[in-house]
Amino acid sequence: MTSMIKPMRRAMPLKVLWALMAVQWVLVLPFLRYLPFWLGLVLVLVMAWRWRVMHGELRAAPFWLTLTAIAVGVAGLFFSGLTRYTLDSAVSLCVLGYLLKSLEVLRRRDGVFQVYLGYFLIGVYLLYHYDPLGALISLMMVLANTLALFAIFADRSFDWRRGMRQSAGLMAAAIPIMIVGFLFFPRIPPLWSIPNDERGAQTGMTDEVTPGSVSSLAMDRSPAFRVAFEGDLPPRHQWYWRGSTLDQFNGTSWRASYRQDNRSQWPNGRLPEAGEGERYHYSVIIQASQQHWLYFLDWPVRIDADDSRILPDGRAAARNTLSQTRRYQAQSQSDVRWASEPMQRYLDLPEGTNVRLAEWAGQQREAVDSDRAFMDRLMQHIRSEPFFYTLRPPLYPGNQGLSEFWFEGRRGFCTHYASAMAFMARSVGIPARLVGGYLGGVYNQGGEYIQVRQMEAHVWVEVWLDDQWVRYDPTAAVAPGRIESNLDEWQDASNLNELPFVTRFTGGMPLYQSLSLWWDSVEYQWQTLVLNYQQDSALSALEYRFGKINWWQAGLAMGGLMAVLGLTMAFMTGVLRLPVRVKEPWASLHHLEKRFGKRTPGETVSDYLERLSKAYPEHRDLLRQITAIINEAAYNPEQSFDKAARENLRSLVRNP
Amino acid sequence: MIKSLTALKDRWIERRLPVRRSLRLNQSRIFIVPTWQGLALLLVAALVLLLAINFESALNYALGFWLVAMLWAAVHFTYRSLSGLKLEVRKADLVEAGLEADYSLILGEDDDRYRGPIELIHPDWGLVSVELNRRATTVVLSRLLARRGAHPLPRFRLESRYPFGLVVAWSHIQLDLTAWAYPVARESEPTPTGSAGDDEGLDDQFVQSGSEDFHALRSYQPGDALHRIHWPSFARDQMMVKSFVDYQGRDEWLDWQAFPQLPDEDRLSALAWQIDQCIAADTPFGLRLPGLELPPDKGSLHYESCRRALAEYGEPS
Amino acid sequence: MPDIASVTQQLLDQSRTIIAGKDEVVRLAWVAILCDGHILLEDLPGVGKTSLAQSLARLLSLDFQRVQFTSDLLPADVLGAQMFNRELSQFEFHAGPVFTQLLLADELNRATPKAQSALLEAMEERQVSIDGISRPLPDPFYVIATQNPRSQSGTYPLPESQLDRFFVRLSLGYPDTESEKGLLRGTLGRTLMSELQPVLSPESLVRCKAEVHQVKVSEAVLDYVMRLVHRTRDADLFRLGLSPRGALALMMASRAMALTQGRHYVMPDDVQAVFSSVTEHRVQGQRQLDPKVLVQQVLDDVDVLAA
Repeated sequence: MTSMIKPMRRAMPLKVLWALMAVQWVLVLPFLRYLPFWLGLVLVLVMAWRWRVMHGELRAAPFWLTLTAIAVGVAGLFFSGLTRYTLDSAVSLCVLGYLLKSLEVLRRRDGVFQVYLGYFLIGVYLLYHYDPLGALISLMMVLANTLALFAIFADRSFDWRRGMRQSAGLMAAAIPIMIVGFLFFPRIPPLWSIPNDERGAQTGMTDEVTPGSVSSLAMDRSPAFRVAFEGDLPPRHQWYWRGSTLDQFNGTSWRASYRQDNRSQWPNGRLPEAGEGERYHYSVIIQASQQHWLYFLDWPVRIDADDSRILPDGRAAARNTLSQTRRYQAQSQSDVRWASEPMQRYLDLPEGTNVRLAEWAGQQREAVDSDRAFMDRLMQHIRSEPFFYTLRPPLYPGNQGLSEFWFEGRRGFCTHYASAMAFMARSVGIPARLVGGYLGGVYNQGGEYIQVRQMEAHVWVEVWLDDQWVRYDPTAAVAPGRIESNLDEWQDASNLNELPFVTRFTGGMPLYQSLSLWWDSVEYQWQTLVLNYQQDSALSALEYRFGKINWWQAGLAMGGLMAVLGLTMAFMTGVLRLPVRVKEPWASLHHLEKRFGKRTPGETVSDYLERLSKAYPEHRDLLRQITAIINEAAYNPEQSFDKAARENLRSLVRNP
Repeated sequence: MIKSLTALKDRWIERRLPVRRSLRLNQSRIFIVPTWQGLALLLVAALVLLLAINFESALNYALGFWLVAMLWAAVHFTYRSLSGLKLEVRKADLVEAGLEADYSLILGEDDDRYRGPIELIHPDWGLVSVELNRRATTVVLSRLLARRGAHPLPRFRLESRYPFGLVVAWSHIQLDLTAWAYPVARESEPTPTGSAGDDEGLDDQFVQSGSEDFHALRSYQPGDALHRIHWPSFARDQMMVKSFVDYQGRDEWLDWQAFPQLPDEDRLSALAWQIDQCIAADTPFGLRLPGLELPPDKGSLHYESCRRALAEYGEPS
Repeated sequence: MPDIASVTQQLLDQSRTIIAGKDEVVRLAWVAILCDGHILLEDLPGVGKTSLAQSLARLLSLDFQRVQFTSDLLPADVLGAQMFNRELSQFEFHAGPVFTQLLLADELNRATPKAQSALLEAMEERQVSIDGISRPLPDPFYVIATQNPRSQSGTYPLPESQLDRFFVRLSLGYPDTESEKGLLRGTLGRTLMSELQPVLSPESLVRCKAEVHQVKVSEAVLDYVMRLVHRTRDADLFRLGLSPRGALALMMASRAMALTQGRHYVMPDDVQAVFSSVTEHRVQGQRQLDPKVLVQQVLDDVDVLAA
């Protein structure tokens, strides 16, 4: 008598172990480049053990090996400086656990555990990679993992091709339900806040700007955010995307009052009131920047963004780190009315800095009769004097750096010009601040949106004139093309050799540009449709197309979908079968049976019809005729049962 | 209470699954539920959804619901591996009581679909797993037959977790297939019955002209075979023929009545022993049981008939 | 080309004058002869077994011999033997009655197993081996053996394992009321054997036999035959199922049956008509069940049209 081992406790055959190991590789590989190198050591250790297991040593890892692996893993964690709890270290821990668990994969239960841990790991991977490519990679991972699950239960009969078919089939069959769940499951706000939710490095504008500091962004072509306008686009020279304002100057660098590190002290601000002129409605999808700043077209008058706070400097910031792409909506106008505020902090200047520049500015102010004229004069000065725009300016260190730039160097980019101009404005008593954000962008024809990249980061000046904040962009004066065209074209046209090599190389290729535009629009669609899917907007999109949808229509549509789904699955699984059309002559025989009663199993056609003709003597001749036709058709291989004969039989059978 | 509940359940299942010689699994026979492992997948899905909610990760919503939907789809996949499955009895052994008998079943049919490994479970044989790969496959279930008589194939559980183990589909199978156990042979002396009728014509039957043993010379008769002519006497101008006889033991009758002193089961054991003796000695024998008489014969077919008769004695047919 | 259907009709017409009301048995016997098969007639004495054999021989213009099997019959009495001729002082072969085209082995089960097996071997081999010399039997060679029902005493039943050397087992049974009345009235069965006219020459018979192999069998009929055969191998009904040889015989007989009906293709009706005669003596029922009953049950249960 055989004893029965519970299914989950059964040992797995070798080829299943192989499959599990292969799948483990597939799942760990995408993580490798993000993980510290010591995890590679653990991986090697684990794989070496599994290799041994599959070459004869079919037993669980001994205690010392497990202990060693854990020790290496934990020591690695500490030495890599991941002692503090962050999401990154948590992920490392997850992968470590996943690897260690596989030391003892011998029984089904362990295999299933590996697979389930794998599913969770894919979920973790998706926290970092939500672009289409990442989704594709995790799709492969899910497939591999499902294949492993198949392998465990196919046991000895496991076969790669069948496994692939079954796994892909299961996933495909699950897609409709998945979509329904994805569409209709309410998006719940986070149940608890995640400490140190940082996935990767921060990108974008910083809270402190020193002249020369933004240049690192100039070679970064990755998108910062994308803006889609409802209706007309604003003219190109107005594409100023404001982020933070920097109002504290210490002589060398500018610092924001509302910084990422003093979030708790942010006041609740109000946006400027709308004035005359056209109002632009737009929505922004911002990439995960690991920062808090949201960007708006100058100047927002209305902002609809969840989980954010409106700041007094005409913008809003996210309360939590932007670790996912985020979508928000806003309205902007070029003409707004600002509320007045205490101006003293926009006038503060440290003593003894850039003395020459302050003196020079004073002389210039004397020469004109208004602040506005002073500002225009500065712009004019930049335009007429030999100032140069370059991404590789010389260094202007120290607290006289701005003077040095203005009088001697005369080479710089936006931060230099903006710093110098704001400094001069303050030195003559005009409230001024720097604005950090982006300028311009690429209009994507296919996707009908503007893509703004990191390389388009920009700094400009706002001064308080006539109870309004007025934008001055000295860069526009030195390099007008930078404002009117997009950065690629402008770089093509002018100082090419100032640009980093890669940008120069790829920028010149039209095919590459159109491809990257296309891919960007794919990403944009992905972000609007998938990542920032919102139930209301989906519903409104439907209603936009089909008109107002009421409850019963929605229910009908859902019911229809489920019915189609259920039927498809039923046919697929053989619960239902399509009725097979009975061919002649059997169809005619069935017809007769329906009319005159059933044939018994052992009765031949002749016997049956003979019996009928006894019961219905009036039809005897007809029945005999039918008998002959059916027998001929059914049993005489040489007799062709053509259409005419079929018709004949049918008419004979259906007539009496 | 539990017991009566179990009995009730058994009765219900019996009614739903009538005994028969072949059957095809369909909706009314297949039961299907998620396994613990399938429920664990829901837990994993819940964890992934938690990731989705807390990190506002849209793709994790998709992944979470995908896992849930996969469990739902797996129900269909596993159902498919049992649905329409044909089972047919083939044969069951006739063995001595105390030995294992094989029950052969045919699972699946030619031109079927691939159904993966299917398990047949019963405490008597534990678990028998068979992979159904588009062909009719014979499954052998071995089972100890402890006592003499009929041993119908018990109702057993047929289950499949293929392909993903997330759900288990099963059916209780009862097929009409009976293995028979004939009694254990045990030596007992028969009581001589001494019926006169039986002895009649003993000589007649005892020696019969035949071909086995040389008996005597006799004079030639036309038609005698050439190779039987006794050539030494032919040289003396006498036509003599060698005559042979077969010593034919009188047909052995193994008789129920020969053991009046024994209880029924022991009588059967004694008869089984006698049958073994006859087979060893290669003598033909007949068997008489109340209401049954098997004429003397030899050969495996005959032996099987006799043993089967012993196995069937007193069993309801 | 002889038209087998009309030959069959003539055969039936003529034999009806000898044994009335037994058309189906005669037809089955004729089917067996078309298939080169031997016939086992199992019946009570006096129902016309001998007449059937004799009239068949006469109608088909076959040589006819008859051997009455008794318990003291020796193999040599059937097969023949080397005899010593004293005049010539040498052995010469005296052919036994088996050297004929149609042998009626009457009451085969009265003979000893030895004599029985001599005949059965001759039937199988279609030759006789005596003292080391093989002598072929005439072609065609048919045996019609008769056997009394087993219950009669003083018999040696044919070994079951050898019964399938007979192509068919037939049974005449009592005549039906109408025929028996005619018999008693004297209007039937008055024809003398010698008045029968042959319906077929030996050469035509050879051609007819060749014709059997030309009969077409459709897939549907083949499936039906397979279903029947499989059913006889059902271990719970049959202890011994139909052997592949038996299945082959069934198919052949069905073909011949179709021919006698004037068809060149087989219908399930043909299979059913021959099934009992071909099958009953080749199978053994489980639990002492009567094969006759079982075979009929198989015919009733197995669906003619589909599985």
